[in-house]
Amino acid sequence: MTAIHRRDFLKSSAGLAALLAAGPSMPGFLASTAAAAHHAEPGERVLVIVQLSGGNDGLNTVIPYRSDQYHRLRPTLRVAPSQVHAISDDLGLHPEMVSLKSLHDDGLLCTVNSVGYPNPDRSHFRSMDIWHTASQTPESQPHGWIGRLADLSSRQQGSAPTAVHLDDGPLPLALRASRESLPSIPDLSRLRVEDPQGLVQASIGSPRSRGSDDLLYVQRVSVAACRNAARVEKVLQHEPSRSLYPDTGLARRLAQISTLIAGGFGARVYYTSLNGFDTHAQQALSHGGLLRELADALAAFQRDLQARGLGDRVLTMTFSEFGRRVAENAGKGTDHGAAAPLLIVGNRCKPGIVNPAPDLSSLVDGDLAHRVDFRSVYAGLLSGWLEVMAEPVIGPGFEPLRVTT
Amino acid sequence: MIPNPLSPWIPSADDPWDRSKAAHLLRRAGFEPSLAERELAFHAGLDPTVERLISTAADDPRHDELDALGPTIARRDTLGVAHLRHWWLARAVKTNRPFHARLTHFWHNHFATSNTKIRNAAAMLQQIRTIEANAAGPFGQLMLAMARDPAMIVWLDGDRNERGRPNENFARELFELFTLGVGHYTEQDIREAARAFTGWGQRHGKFRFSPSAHDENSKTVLGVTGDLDGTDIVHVAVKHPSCAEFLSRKLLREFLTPNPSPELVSGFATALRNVDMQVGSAMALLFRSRVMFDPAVRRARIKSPVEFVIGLSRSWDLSVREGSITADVAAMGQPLLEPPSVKGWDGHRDWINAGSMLMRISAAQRSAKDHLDADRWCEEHAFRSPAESAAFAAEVMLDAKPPSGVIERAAASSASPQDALRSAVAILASTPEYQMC
Repeated sequence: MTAIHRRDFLKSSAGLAALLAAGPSMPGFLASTAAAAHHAEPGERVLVIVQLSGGNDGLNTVIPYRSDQYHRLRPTLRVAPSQVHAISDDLGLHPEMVSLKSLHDDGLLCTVNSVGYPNPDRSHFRSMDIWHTASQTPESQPHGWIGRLADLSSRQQGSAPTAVHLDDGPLPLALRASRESLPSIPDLSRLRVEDPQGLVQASIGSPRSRGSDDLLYVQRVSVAACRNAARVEKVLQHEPSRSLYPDTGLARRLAQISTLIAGGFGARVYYTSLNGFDTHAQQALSHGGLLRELADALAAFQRDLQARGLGDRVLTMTFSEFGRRVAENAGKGTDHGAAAPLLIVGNRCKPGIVNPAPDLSSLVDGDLAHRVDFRSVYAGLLSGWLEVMAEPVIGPGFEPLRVTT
Repeated sequence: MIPNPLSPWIPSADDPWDRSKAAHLLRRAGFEPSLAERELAFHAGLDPTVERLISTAADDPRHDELDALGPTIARRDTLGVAHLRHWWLARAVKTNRPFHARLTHFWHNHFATSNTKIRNAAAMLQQIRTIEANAAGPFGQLMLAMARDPAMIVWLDGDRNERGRPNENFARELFELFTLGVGHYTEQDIREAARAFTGWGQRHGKFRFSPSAHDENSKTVLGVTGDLDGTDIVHVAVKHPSCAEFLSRKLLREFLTPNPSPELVSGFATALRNVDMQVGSAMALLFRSRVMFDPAVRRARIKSPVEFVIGLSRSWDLSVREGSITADVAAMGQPLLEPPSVKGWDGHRDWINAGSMLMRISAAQRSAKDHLDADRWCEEHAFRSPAESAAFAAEVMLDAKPPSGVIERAAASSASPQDALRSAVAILASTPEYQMC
């Protein structure tokens, strides 16, 4: 039998229906075609984003353990060279990140150093808005970069949303779109609605001859909400994961994301976060725990994806709104800084460290200078992974950084 | 000549005080009114209703009973705040002072202190009490009380701020988020203000000042020079012209419209200054004003999760069982006492996305099915048919103007008045119209 690529028969739903009607062997044929593919089709690739909220201290995450300045400027917060998990001659991971060290050794971790942007802003909200909109004037941007990706994707009525926010709290600016209303879900289990006679759907969806922009907005979103409920019901009927995840918030959210991906929910981007990185005081008391939660959750997620045969289809990126100052403060903590490392995890990431370690002898106002604009990383993921044109999403002028194989 | 939108609205024969306006005012100032509340306000008239809203007279005994349980509940919670959250919401369902409940939520959002860092329910309760005691008073008093509040001090590392090694966190957020807004101060102002707050701290849940940690040297903040301390900084910030503008915009967004015009913001800022930043007095002026009764402002705001859940509970006297309303409000995106960041919740369209809207629809169903005493309502109003009880639901919830066909469908698919009431309440609470207030 000639190999038929999924994209060929997916183009024609009539053709698909005909093939499916051919008999009980059809599901098996689909499965073996997918397995035989050399790599996942671009349309099936998924990007998972884990936002580290509060300004993660990158310097104690990917540590330049041989730097004299590092040890001198951080008398209590420094990590001794014997304690780091070395990933190169001059960089090592924080002691609590042993799970990430394993990923690195298996070629599943990509580290990009000194990521930031010109004229760094040290307000949490403004800097986060800059990362979310990919713009240095976020005030002029009502929508986020993932929102723009959603608006530009030609999605048909009834198909899955381009991106899903799986977390507590409001929909992040990154996912605000103008055409699509991307969903924000704290937990999959709270999405059940009983509407056997369709009365709720009919009441929400019937046309409103008069209505303010806000009313019509709420209506549009409500209609999408009902559709998502139906879609989630189908996903939850899929087989749950057999992998073990740690008992932490982030791990639970990543486990739910894994279920959504495996169950065919169909979004291209999943967005979640880990909070608590604003370590102005007594950083040693909390930072290690957060890094461990992050590392262990990412590792469990990666193992689960591989066990489900999804390893080639998913990349995960972590980022924070800024790093922190190189010198520690009076409270044994660190204040808001600038550039920081960014991590990417997955089978298809470009493994290893893609650029040199930060140079602590050329600080800018006490902060690390950025060497890579974060939009180059976005561009690399948009064009190299999701295979969409980067410029319409994040604007012109950013050379994509190669972060995938 | 265009009349000043903040001047008092005078009811007339052409534009009378009616039930619809009474309900609108009650929604704006508090929550969705019950039918009884609406009738009371309609018969009393505009001015007595505003006075009643602003009044700090005694509350309903059911509210006060719950209120007295605060410290016990906080002790039960210790690190988490699940029970405290429920206590706070349950009181708001029973209160006779809905404006004060809304105002307290407003300030909670403004000062956005999260228990995820404080991890102490007693401290969070104390902060709620501090807000409640000062909510409608002069803003300077509230701001100073909050600067000295132990939970706030821990939240913004106030007790890690010493002479020689200042911690800028509180000073920055004081200017950026609590008083002036971005653009009205410099990084230098922040650095100097941080020095003024050195030595401020807390111990065992009480404010404590350590003179030895305090930087007594001269500072210059927002153009004022002297050996300023924290109290002086609060005073300078509140007196700064940008403060009234900043607060004006936030109050208008919360109680009037999501997009107040620059002129309106400026006008209300002037009104605030004219009453020495007494928030209660300024709000009374707003509640009586022309702009409050401008049709453009009617149903112009999107309800927060708290307003949605509490409004539904008050309108229908729903049984408020522990765990249900609290979990719903959090799932809709507003976990009280744990705002997402120091910036709080932005509100309006931010509340509504495909996930959170599904939570509202799901919560509406569960409320109507499990917490509405349909038998009692049908008996009290002697409903004899599904059509009657469904129409009543529309009167209570949407000023008798439901989207077309909704009531007919609910009635047609129900066998009894009780079923029709439950069905109508669930469906109406899911409509886009009901999300607007």
